[in-house]
Amino acid sequence: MVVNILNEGDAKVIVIDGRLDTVTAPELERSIAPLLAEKSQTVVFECKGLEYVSSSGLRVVLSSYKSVVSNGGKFMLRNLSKDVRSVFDLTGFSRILTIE
Amino acid sequence: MNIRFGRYIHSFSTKLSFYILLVVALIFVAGFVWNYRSSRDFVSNEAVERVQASLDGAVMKIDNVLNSVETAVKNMSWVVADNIDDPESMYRLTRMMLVDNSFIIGSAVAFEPNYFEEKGHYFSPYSYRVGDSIYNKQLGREEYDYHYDDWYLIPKILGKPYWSEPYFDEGGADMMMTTYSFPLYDDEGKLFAIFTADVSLDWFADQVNCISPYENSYNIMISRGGTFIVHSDKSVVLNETFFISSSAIGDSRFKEVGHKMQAGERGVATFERDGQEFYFVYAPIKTTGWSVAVSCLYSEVFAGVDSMRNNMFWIAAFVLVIMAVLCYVTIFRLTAPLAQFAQSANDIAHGNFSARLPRVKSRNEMRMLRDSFDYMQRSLIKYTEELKTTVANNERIESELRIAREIQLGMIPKIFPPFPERKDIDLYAMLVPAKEVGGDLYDFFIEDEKLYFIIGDVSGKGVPASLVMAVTCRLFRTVASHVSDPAEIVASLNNALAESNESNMFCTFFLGILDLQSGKLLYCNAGHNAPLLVAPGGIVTPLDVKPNLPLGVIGGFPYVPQETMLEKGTLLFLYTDGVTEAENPAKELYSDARLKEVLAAANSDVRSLVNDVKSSVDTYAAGTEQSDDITILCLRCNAEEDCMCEVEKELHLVNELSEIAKLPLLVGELASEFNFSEEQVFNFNLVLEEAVTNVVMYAYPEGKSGSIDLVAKCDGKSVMFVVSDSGKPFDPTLVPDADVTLPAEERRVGGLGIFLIRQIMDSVEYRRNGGMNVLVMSKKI
Amino acid sequence: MRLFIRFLLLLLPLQLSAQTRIVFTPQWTAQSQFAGYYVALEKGFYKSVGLDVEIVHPSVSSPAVNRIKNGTSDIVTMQLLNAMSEVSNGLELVNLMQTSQHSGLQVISKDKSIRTFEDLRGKRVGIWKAGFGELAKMPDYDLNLGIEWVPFIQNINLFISGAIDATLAMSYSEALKIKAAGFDDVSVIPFTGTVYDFPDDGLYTTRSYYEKNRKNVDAFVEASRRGWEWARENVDETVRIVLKYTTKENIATNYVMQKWMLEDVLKLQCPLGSDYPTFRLEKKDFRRLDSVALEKGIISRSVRYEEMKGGVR
Repeated sequence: MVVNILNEGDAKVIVIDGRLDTVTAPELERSIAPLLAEKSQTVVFECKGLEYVSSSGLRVVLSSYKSVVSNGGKFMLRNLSKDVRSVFDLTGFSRILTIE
Repeated sequence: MNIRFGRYIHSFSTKLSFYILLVVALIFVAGFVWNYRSSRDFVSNEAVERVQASLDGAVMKIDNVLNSVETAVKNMSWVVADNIDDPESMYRLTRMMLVDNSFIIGSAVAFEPNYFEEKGHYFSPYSYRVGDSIYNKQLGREEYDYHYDDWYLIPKILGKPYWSEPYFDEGGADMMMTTYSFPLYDDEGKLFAIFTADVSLDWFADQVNCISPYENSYNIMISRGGTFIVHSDKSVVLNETFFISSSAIGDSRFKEVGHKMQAGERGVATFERDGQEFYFVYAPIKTTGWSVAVSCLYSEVFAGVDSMRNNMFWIAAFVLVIMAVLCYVTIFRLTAPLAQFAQSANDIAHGNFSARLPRVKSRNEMRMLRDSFDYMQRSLIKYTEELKTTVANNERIESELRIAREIQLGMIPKIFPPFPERKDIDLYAMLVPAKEVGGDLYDFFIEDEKLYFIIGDVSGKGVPASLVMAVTCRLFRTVASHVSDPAEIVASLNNALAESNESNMFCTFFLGILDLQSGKLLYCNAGHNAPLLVAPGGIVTPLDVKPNLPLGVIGGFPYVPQETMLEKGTLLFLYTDGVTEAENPAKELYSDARLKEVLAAANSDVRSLVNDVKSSVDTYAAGTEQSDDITILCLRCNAEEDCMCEVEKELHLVNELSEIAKLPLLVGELASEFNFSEEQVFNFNLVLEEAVTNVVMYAYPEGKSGSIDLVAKCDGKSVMFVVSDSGKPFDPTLVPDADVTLPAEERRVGGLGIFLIRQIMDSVEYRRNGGMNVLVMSKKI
Repeated sequence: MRLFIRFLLLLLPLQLSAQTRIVFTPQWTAQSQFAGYYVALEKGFYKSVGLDVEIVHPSVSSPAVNRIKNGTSDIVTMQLLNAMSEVSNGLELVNLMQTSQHSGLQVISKDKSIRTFEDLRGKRVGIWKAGFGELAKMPDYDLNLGIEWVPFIQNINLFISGAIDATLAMSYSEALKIKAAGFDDVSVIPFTGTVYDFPDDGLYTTRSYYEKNRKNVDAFVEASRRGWEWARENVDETVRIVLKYTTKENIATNYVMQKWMLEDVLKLQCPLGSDYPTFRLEKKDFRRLDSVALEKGIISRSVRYEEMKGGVR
C-alpha cells in the first residue's frame, strides 16, 4: 500500500494505492494521524488506486471520519472501485460517509 | 345537568330523606287532624254552651218581666172586679198599672158591648205612656171595634189569658208591643171585660240583641206565628216570618227548625248560607211561646282553632323543612363514604391495592365497612406478594429444569451437517423435547470410517428419564469406542442399565454401525420401533428388525445383531414414538401411515426431509401441546459416490498478521482452477483475511505462538473454507454483528469481520472439535 | 217609508199629550192579586194603546164600589157576586173581563181529621167580619152544619192561638199567611171544584162609561190582558213590579208572599183542566151563581148575563 497526502485547495487529499488490509491499515492510521488533529479541514480519501479493503481498513476510515467531524471538518471518499464500494455498501458505511 | 339531577333523585340521601319526611309528615298530619278535630269539638261544645247560657240568660230576663206583667194584671183584676160599679174608676186603675209597673206602657179594661148601658157598644178605658207622662183615653169607637182585635177576641174565645202576637201600635205609643189580655168574668162566669197590659217589645229586643257571644253573631226572636220580632234586618220585623225566609233560602231544614222553635223546643242546628256555615242556637220564651235564636258563624266560633290550625300548619311546615334539610345533610354525610368506597373498590379492581379509603371517624357500620376494605386491601397485598414468591419459585424450578434439559440436549450432537468435510454421509437429526424433561436420545460418531448411530426412548419422563438417557448416551460412547459388534454394545449397555435399575426404568434403543465405504449396516434393536428405509422414488419400507427387549429390563438378555446393505441414495429414517403418537386436538394419533405418506413425498435432502416430517407433525398437532419428545434421525450413505472434481488446498500458518499476505495465493490457486470472478476472489480473500485475523488476534495469548490450519475445498459447485486452530475456545459466530444501521458516531470498530464473513458466505459454522476451534465457511458458487 | 217613520216620530209627543186618562181601582190594597194591571202600566202596555192609566187603591173610607159609583174611578175590579149584587141593586155594571175563573175560598184547619165540609159540623170556624162571607156560608146553609161562625178582621192569630177549630181563607191571601206562619201541614178544604166554585175577580165599569168610552175601555181590557199574560211568563219580574207598588202603598209584605200569591192567582185564572186563562165570563157559571145567589137571598133579583155583558167575548 502507498499513501500520498496532497493539498487540493483547502482540502487534504489522501491518495491510497494498493491493498488496505489488516497489515497495512495501521500504516495508514499512523501516517494520517497528525493530519486528522487539525481543525476544520476537508479530508478526502482518494481511492482510485485502492484495490482491496478489509474490516481493519474500514476501521481506519471510520476513526478518521470521527476525528475529522469532531474537529468541525468535512470528510469524504472518492473514486471507489466496484468491489471496494460493495464492501462499504455491505457494512452500511456508504450510508454514513460522504462518497463521491 | 339531567344526569346530575337524576343522581340526586336516586341517591340514598334523597330517598331516605323522602321516606323519613313522608312518615313524619303523615304523623304530623294525623296528629294535626286529631288535634284539630278534638279542639274543634271542644270549642264547638264550649261555644254552644256559652251561647246557650247567654241565650238562657236573656230568655229568663224576658220571662221574668212577662211573668211580672202577668202577676200585676192578675192582682189588679181583683181591684177591677171590686170597682166594676164605677166605670170611670177604670181609668184610675189602668193608670195605676202603668205607675206600678214600668214595663207596662199601656193598659185597658175593654168591656163587652153595652156592658154599661150608659157607655154604649164600645167602652174601653185605656191608659198609655208617652215619654214620662201617662194619658187616658177611651179606645172603642165606631171606626175601631176592638171586639174583633186579637187581644180581645182570642182570650175571649179561649177563655184564658193570652199574650198577643207582637204588633206595631199606631194608635197610641207608636211602638212594637205585645198585649197581655186577661179575661174578666162576673159572678155568673160570664165574660164582661178583657183586662190588658201592653208591653213594649223594644226592651225585649234590646235584651235579645244584648246576646252577643261573637262579634258577628246575630240574633232573632220570632213569635208563635214565626213573625220576626227581632232581626238584624229591621225591614223584616213584623213583616216577614221565619218560614218566608226559609222558603226564600230554600233550605227545608230551616223550616224544620222553625217548627221546633214554634213548638217551644230548644236546640242547636247548623246551617250553611251564602257559603258560610253557622250555628243556630235557639230557646223558647215559655210565657209567650216565642222563640229566641242566636246564630254564630263557624269562622268566628272556630277563629281561635283555625288560627291555631294555621299556626300549627306553619310550624309543622317549618319543622318539616328543617327536618328535610337535617335528614338530607345527616344521611348525606353518613352515606357520603359509600361513593368514595365505590371509587376505592374501582381503584382496587384496577390493581391499586393501596387505594385511599374514605376516612370514617365514627364507630358505625361505615367504619366496619372501612375496616373490611382495609383488611381486604392488606390481604390482597399479602396474597399478591405470596403469589409473586410462588411464581418466582416456580420460575426458578422451571428454569432449573430448562437448564437440565439444556445440559441433556448438550450431550447430543447438534451441529449439522456433522461431517461437512465428508461427502459420503448425509446425516440430520432432531430432538424436540416436550415441555417436561423427556428421555429421548440420539447420538452418532465416526470412527475408523464407520458411523456409529443410536436412537432411543427412555420410559417415563422427567428428571429420572433424563438421567437414564444421559447415562445411556455416555455408556454408548464409552462402550462403542472399544467394541465394534452392535449386539455386544447393546448387551453391555443393557447389563449396565439393568444392574443399577432400581426404579425399573427401561429404554428402547436402536444401534446402527454403518460402514461408510461399503454401505454395510450392522445393527441391533432393543425394543425400539423399526426404522424406515426410504428408497429413491419414495418407496418406504421398514427395516427388518428383531424386536428384542428394551435396555434395562433383564440383565444378560441375548441381543441378536442384524445386518443389511444400505443402498446408495437410500435414506434410513429413525424416529421415536413421539412422532407417530403426536396428537391432534381430537386426541387422534399422527400414525405410521401418515408418516410413511410424508416420507414418500418428501425431499431427498436429509435436513429438509426431517423438517418436512416435523412440520407435518406440527400441522397435524395444530397447537396441541406436545406430550412426548420427538426425535428423528435420518441418514443417507453416499459411499460409492466419487468426488472426482473436488480440489482441496491446505495452508498452514502461524499466528502472525503478516501471514495474511499468503492468503491471496491460496485463493488465487483455487480461482485459477475454477475460474472465479474478480469479485469472488476479492470476497474470498476478504473472508479468509477476516477469519484468520480473528484467530491471530484472539485465539492465542499475547506472545504465544500457535498454528492455524486452513483447508479450502471446491467442487465447482461450492467452496468451503475450514479454519482450525488449537487456541483457547472461541466461537466467532457468537460475536454480535456490527450494527450497520447505526450512524458513524455510534459505530464500534469491532464485529465487522465476522459480519462481513456472514454476509459473503452462505453458511458459517463453528465447532470445538478435539481441542480445536473449527470454523467452517461455505458458499455455493 | 223612511219619511213616514220620521213623521210618526215627530207626532209622538203630540200623541202622548193626547192620551186618554183612565183611573183604575182594584178591590183591595196593592198585592199580586192585581199583578196584571201593574205590569200593563209598568211595561207601557196602556201607554202603547194611548191610555194614561192611574191606579188608585181603595181605602176603608173609599172602597172600589164607592169609587165606581161616584165616578172617581173609571174601571174597578170586583168579585162577581159583589158585582151581581150591585147590579141587582140598580148599579149598571159591565163585566169587561173575567180574570178569576174560580173561587179562592178554602177552609183550613190544624185538625187533620177535618177533610170535608161535613167534618165542620158544630165546629167553631173563623169568618171575615166583612165581605166574602155570603158564599162561604153556603155549605153551612146547604148541609145544615150548625157551624159556630167567629167573625174576624185578621184570622191568622186566631188560627194560631187555637181559639177556632178552622177558618175560612182565601187561597191567595189568608192561606198564604197561615203557611208563612209555619202551618203548612194543615187540612185544606178548597171550594174550587165544588158546587160552590164560582168565578170570582173580574174587571168592571159602569154601563154609561162603557158606552161613552167603548174604544178606550176595550183598549184598556186588551192591555190588561197583555199585562196578565206577560206576568204569567215572567213571574219573578212581575213580583218585583208588584213589590214596587206595595212599597209605594206602605204595605208590609215580602217577595215570597207576593210570589206565592201571584202563583195562586194565575192558577185561579185557568178554567178547570186548562193551563191557560180565557178571561171570559162563562154564561153557565153566571147563571149558576145567579140562581144560587137568588136562592140564598144574596141578590134581590135575578140578573141576566146579557145585562152585564161587555168586554171580552
